[in-house]
Amino acid sequence: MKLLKQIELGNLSLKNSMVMSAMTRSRADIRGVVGDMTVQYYHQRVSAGLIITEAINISEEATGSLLTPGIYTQEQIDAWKKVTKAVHDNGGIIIAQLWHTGRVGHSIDRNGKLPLAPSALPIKGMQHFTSQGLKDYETPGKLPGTKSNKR
Amino acid sequence: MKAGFDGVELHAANGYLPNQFLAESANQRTDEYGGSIPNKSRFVLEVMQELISAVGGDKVGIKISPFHPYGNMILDNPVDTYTYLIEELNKLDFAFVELMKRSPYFPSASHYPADDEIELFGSMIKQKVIANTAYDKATAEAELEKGIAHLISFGTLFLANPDLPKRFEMGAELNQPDRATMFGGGEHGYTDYPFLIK
Ligand SMILES: Cc1cc2nc3c(=O)[nH]c(=O)nc-3n(C[C@H](O)[C@H](O)[C@H](O)COP(=O)(O)O)c2cc1C
Repeated sequence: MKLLKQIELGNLSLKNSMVMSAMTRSRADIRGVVGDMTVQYYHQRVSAGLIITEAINISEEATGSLLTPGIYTQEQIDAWKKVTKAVHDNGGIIIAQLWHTGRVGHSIDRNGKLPLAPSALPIKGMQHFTSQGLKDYETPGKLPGTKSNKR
Repeated sequence: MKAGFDGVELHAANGYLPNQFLAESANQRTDEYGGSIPNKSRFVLEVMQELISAVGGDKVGIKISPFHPYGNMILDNPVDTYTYLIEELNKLDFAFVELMKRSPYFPSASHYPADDEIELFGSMIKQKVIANTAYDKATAEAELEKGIAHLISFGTLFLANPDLPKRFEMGAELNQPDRATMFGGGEHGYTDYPFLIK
């Protein structure tokens, strides 16, 4: 089976050609910190050739949904260290998916701040899952014309 | 990387910020980040360049979903836009492109072509291609046989089957994913999907 064949990806040697794609599971705490449950969840899936984490917010500004993890405070980074250690100690490989949600967010869960996007155009035909239930999307603010902080 | 990760993937799919720059339904800017196809693509390309110089190209990938309309992503010309983007990405040195196909649950706009994304775009991509969306064991194996994609990524199947490679190897039955526990909650539907043999 080709799926089970080992393969090189960049500088990584994967034990099979099956990748776990990124999946948001909304089980971080209110400060975007993942806990022991998340360590166990990724640890259980180390037989994937490559694990791609759930999308991780690169800044507070980038955040669109409650209980999604971040990687911009020391506390968040330390929590991810436990995940990567558990995966590595058990023969797995794991990369981080970096996330900026742009207009896909709601001020309710952003301390009252509107999301920022390329243009002030709201999402139509969908609603956002907020801590206060489903809400229509607001018209986002427009990002300034400088190079962004997305890293 | 400080957190011990082996690499990073830029999420440029599913209607989030990088994807928003590519779509006229979210980007009507009149500066150098909007308007023409090269301008709309500038943001994604600049972020990729920054990631590559920050962590090294062999540790960088990107996920794109050219025909997936999630997040109200409507491009005037999706084929030309993504063809340009891929040609420019081909000039950069990095590890992989994860190519997410549209899903039957989210029909794309009527001016979108019916082409298979892996055949259309995958064959243009210079980096390793990870094909994604709705693959099972048989269709994944067939996709690899075709020779365009090098790897297959599975979402919901890995969510529900922590030992998915072993189950494929043994031809075992699969656990079914539970939609109600996908987002939020505790261990149920997260860490309690059973293994074949513990
Ligand atoms: C619960 C859930 C959460 C998801 N979260 C993300 C995410 O954070 N980032 C991402 O790129 N894709 C996300 N996706 C999309 C998956 O990575 C994948 O592209 C999609 O499910 C199609 O693959 P599949 O048919 O094998 O499940 C998510 C999917 C599901 C079911």
